[in-house]
Amino acid sequence: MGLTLTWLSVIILIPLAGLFLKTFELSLDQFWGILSSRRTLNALRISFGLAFAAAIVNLVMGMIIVWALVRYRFPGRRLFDAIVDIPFALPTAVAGVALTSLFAQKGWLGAPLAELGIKVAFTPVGIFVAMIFIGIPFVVRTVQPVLIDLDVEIEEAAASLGANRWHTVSKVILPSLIPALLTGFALAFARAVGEYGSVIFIAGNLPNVSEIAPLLIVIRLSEFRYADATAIAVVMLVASFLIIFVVNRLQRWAQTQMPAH
Amino acid sequence: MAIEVKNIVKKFGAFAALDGVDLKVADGELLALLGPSGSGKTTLLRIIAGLDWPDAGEVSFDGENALARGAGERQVGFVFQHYALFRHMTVFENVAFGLRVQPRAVRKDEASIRRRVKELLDLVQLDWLSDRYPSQLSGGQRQRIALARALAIEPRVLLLDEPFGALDAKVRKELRQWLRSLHHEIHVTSIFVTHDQEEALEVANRVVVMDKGRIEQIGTPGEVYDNPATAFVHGFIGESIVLPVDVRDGCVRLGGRALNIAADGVACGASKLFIRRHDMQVGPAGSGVLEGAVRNVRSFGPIQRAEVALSEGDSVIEIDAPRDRELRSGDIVGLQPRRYRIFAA
Amino acid sequence: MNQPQIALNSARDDLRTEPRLVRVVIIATAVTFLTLFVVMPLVVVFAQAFSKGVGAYFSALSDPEALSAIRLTLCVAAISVSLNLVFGLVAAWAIAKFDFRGKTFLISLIDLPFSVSPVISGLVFVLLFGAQGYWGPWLQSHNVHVLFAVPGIALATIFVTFPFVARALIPLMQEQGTQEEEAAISLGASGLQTFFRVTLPNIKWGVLYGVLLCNARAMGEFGAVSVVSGHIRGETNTMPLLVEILYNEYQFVSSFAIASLLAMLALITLVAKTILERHLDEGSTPRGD
Repeated sequence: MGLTLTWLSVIILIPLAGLFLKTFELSLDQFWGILSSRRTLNALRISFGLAFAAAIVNLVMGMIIVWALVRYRFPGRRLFDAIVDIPFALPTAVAGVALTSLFAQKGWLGAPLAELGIKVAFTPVGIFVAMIFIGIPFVVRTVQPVLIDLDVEIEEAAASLGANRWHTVSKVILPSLIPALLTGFALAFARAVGEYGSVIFIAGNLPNVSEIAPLLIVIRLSEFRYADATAIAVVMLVASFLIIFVVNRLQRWAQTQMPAH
Repeated sequence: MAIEVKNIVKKFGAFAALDGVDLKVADGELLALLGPSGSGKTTLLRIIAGLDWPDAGEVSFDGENALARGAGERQVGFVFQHYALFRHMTVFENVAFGLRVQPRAVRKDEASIRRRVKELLDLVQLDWLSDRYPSQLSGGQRQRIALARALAIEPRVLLLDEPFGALDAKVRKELRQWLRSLHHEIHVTSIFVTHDQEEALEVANRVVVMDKGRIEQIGTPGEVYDNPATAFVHGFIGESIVLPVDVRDGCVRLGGRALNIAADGVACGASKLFIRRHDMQVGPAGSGVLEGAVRNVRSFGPIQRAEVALSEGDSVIEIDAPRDRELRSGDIVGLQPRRYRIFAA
Repeated sequence: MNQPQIALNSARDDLRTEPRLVRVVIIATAVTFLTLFVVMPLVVVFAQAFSKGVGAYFSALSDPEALSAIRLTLCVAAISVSLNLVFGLVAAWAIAKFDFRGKTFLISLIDLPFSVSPVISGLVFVLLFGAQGYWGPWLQSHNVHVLFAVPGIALATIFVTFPFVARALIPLMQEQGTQEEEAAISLGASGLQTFFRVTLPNIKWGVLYGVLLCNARAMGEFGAVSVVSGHIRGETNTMPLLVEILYNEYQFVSSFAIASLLAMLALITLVAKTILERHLDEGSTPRGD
């Protein structure tokens, strides 16, 4: 026990304590000043805003994907099921360069989109795309076990009571998936906010336009403006913890919905 | 509503769940489908409900072909063994569900729906739980709500799949009585599936005994108990003593020795003699057609149950005797069946 | 009496599924989305890596910088995995088999690196060991280089991959309970004997699973390592960092060649993970099989 706690403190607690201590070195005014600088605010806005939008896309697409994987049989289903894990397993730098190459002006997907007048690489749209990529597994894998375990009798009950298929799906099945969907959404959101490697290649990294908060932290560090970097990091940390807290709450709420047999 | 089922066959792969089943259910009766697991009783119920489809055969409701419609259109109320309540909806919303998903044209207005739900919750005596969620209810309460939900759509027939199977013994007994009185009040044709014979005999107007996808006997509880039509029914209902006998020229032999009992119209050959435990009279040695030595005795309640090794053949049987004359291990007793049946083996 | 047969077919659409058109649309949407967003990026990596032929591919990989990066990556991964294995085992053992105050705190702590942005993970190390960090001046005066050197990279990687072994083992060990260990002790086995003969064999699949994921993350970590490494070519570049550098210098084939190695690592990890999951699903591992 002592060994574990020592190891843990060395490896985790001390570094994190350092982070917060550094922040407290700043006065509240300074802290506020850093945060309210235009560039910082924009970076935070871009990171959180695009992460939210990407998580929404993953919520919808994730629901469609998990439905197809669990409910239907089609050739290659097992393969696609395995593919869902790739964004999670692939090193972020690899994902970054791959997505950039794919969506660049001359890329396989970038070229047709350019024809339509849509520029993806080096714009906020690129950030959005990368955030969607890394969030794919979260909604799918969180909802999948719940959907698989769904009681068949519930659907039969609804049908025997006269509900048509749409009613059964929308009023009976989907509501019971809501806790899992929200958890998956929160996880995808939290991941996208903090993502670095997958995003910085495809983002334009132009300050105030396509610069994500993690990148700004790195830049401040390279400028030796440690306090600034720390301040931004603290904001991101607090936001992430809030998200995790909400997720835990959601999971606890989901437990109360399960009938105790 | 009267139901008629003709020659239903249902196979799962090579396994015949239902092997040619014919049944007529009278309007307003409370019918039990009784049998061991695998007998096909739940499959039959689900086919009547429209949750499963037969491979061959007909089902008609009041003369109309029921197989032309799906479960939602047959107006059946189905109550599942594990209730299948919608856990994200309150009790009220569960019961109202069937009324709320009706097509616009038929759907009643919200006020009428509310009234009907309240009526039903009053009927099952649970209106005070109206705002709770299923997870906050006990098993017995959930089952009653499931019933109220099924009744909300004014079904022509009520189908219950082992409705009390998941409850403890005491709650089960209470709900049995309650179901019977409920049926008396609302008079909807009802069919329930059970493997508990006590339940079937206590509650139903008629009992359908099933085994291995076939109907063994249909009759009132009294008929099925007193006049079992087959060896299976005799063995399944009530506690029976079974002895292997040989019938030849009207003479019944157990272990080589002739017994002084009538052959009961059974043809020659190996057969089984069925005697209900409480129909076996126990007396001193020589007082009966059978004789045996008591091996061990257990007393509980008003009876003593003894293991007796018969002097004929190798059989060891269990008999019940009243407590007035105490039996001891080693006693020789005479056994006389007051009533018995013989079936071909 | 054949008329019921026709009726059977028309009304019998399985009541638990959607009309055909809806099914087709849903499947098509899911498949298209996954193909565009997941399959194609993966394919692009290999397409680009081999775009100038097999020869160019292999010469990119045998470049001294590349080899040095591969060596560094393997080395850091080995260190992280071994250290986190030992302490993950100890932590999981403590949590699963004992009751003590602060248990929930410990569990949340273990999950911490998992939920934090990798850049922030790197940041905390800079704050501690950087030139202006807490220990920076002390380290400099003793000529100990943590940041912009291998130790820093190792530390950051250890931090980031810390949870994997523990998270794989804790639920497994909790599920297995303490009865077997208690039986061993009552039969006279010492603590260590119990651990190696009773506990360890039961958790072997969980250990492999945790090690597998820990390794994959350790080799692929980018954000945290990028912050602490200083990007010193030939010395402090891991494979992911080298991918970035080469890409920024427009050396696409080289960059994607290294990326392809990492992609293959990811695929192998996924396959191994699926196999191990099947073993884990079989409940407590049968011994002696």
